[in-house]
Amino acid sequence: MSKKNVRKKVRGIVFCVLSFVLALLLFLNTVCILTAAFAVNENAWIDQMNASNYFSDKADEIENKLIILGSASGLKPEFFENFIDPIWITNDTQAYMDAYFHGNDDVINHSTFKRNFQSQLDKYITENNVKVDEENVEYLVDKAENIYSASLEIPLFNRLSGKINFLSGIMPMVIAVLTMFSLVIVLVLLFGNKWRHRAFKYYYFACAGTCLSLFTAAVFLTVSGGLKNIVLESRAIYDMVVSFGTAVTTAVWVFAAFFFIMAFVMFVVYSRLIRKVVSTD
Amino acid sequence: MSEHNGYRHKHNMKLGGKSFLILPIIFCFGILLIVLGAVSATLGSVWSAAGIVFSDYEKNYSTEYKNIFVPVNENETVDTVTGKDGKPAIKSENVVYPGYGVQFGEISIPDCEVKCPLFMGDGDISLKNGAGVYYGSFIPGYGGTILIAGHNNTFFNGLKNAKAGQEITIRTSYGDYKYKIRETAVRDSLDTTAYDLSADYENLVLYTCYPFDEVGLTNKRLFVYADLTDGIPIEKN
Repeated sequence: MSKKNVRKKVRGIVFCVLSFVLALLLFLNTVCILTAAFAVNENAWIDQMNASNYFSDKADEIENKLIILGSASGLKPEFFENFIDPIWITNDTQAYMDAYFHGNDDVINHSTFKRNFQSQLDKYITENNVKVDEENVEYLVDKAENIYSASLEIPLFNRLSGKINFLSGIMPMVIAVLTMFSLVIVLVLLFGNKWRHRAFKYYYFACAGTCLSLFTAAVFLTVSGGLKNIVLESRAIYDMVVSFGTAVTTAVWVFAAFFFIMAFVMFVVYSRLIRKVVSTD
Repeated sequence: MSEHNGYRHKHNMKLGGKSFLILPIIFCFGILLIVLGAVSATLGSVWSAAGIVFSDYEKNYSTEYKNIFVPVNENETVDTVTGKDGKPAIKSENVVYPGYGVQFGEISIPDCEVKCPLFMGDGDISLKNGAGVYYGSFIPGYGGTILIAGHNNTFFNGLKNAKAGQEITIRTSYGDYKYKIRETAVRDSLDTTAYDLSADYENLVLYTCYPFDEVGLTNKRLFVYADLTDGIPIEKN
């Protein structure tokens, strides 16, 4: 093999490796963008809560738990009918999420619930002239408060909040660095090949490789059912988490489709350029 | 042949080729291998955590419960065998042991106007629809302690009139069991001496929140203790 041919082969291998690194960077960047857009994005959580009817479902759940508490404490189910206002849940959940995403205390504010429950209870006791023991009433109010707070808590959130804070802080920087490296490789491929069609061939390899990787991930997420088999006590949280999983799966499909289109465009550009070059041969 | 920046180069018109299909597939495998390899250190704990958080099937959030209770008619007889003590016993294969949250019987105390469905387990759905047998205790006929809970504001409100000598009936699909109230007592909810789950004789313990007809939540429980007076035991293998 002549020296020229060996050099040509080595250059081909180097550019192939570079296009593989580009594909890897594009895949990692997509994962980071999805993480930034969903997992560590407070607005995405709130959007999913709205989309899955979380606040009114949560109100129903709390009402049912309070009715059961009432069965053991002398309060009829009618006492709790329409008692829970989804607006309290919306406000208290938003404050709770804000605290987590900003690294503040994660205490759920239940003062609105307590104030309303206490006044409703006092009214009921006066109107019905029922026998009470102050200590037992206090215990009932505490228990109701605990039910309200515990119901608003999102499982594992307190354990994950540190990671969420860390990720939300570094994610923009990671995305910027990955994008910068990707651009450097794009430029190396463009200016390292005197024949432009070759650069587009390597872009095609990178885009197609990324597309296939994302396609595999999307198929895995879809076939495994996303988060449908997650075991959660609360139906409202389950619906929200499943809706979240579906949104992420859809986003992975969208990115896979985007890279499919990009790979197609690169292939078309490559084939046009090579036709042009061959026609002038 | 074309000339480009003084460099002469040969091109062929063959578009695509095997590399256009094979290389992206190799890239895909490479990317997935690198990503899996990078996270493999934490993958073990992630999988074990997923094993706890995920199940093989979708969780059922229905508040509906299963009912396996088919009352035994008065003239009907249940299949029995002769037990080790020479007395008749219900064939164990004829008894369907109820799963958690399943209605398998009915409890009634005529003197207290208590009559409600009986469930296995004392979870929210059970206690909302009737009385529930504590899952760590026994079902009637097994010869152990049957610990049954109910809410004082609903199905067990009548227990406020419970007195020694009154009769309690539990009907199941495998036979009816009668008990006589021995005594009642108010104890603390955390008092584990209030009942003996290791007793080797059949006894019934009902409990509910105390006091009755009062708004508030207490740590006090009313316990009603009763002994078996009639009913065929289940065969012990």
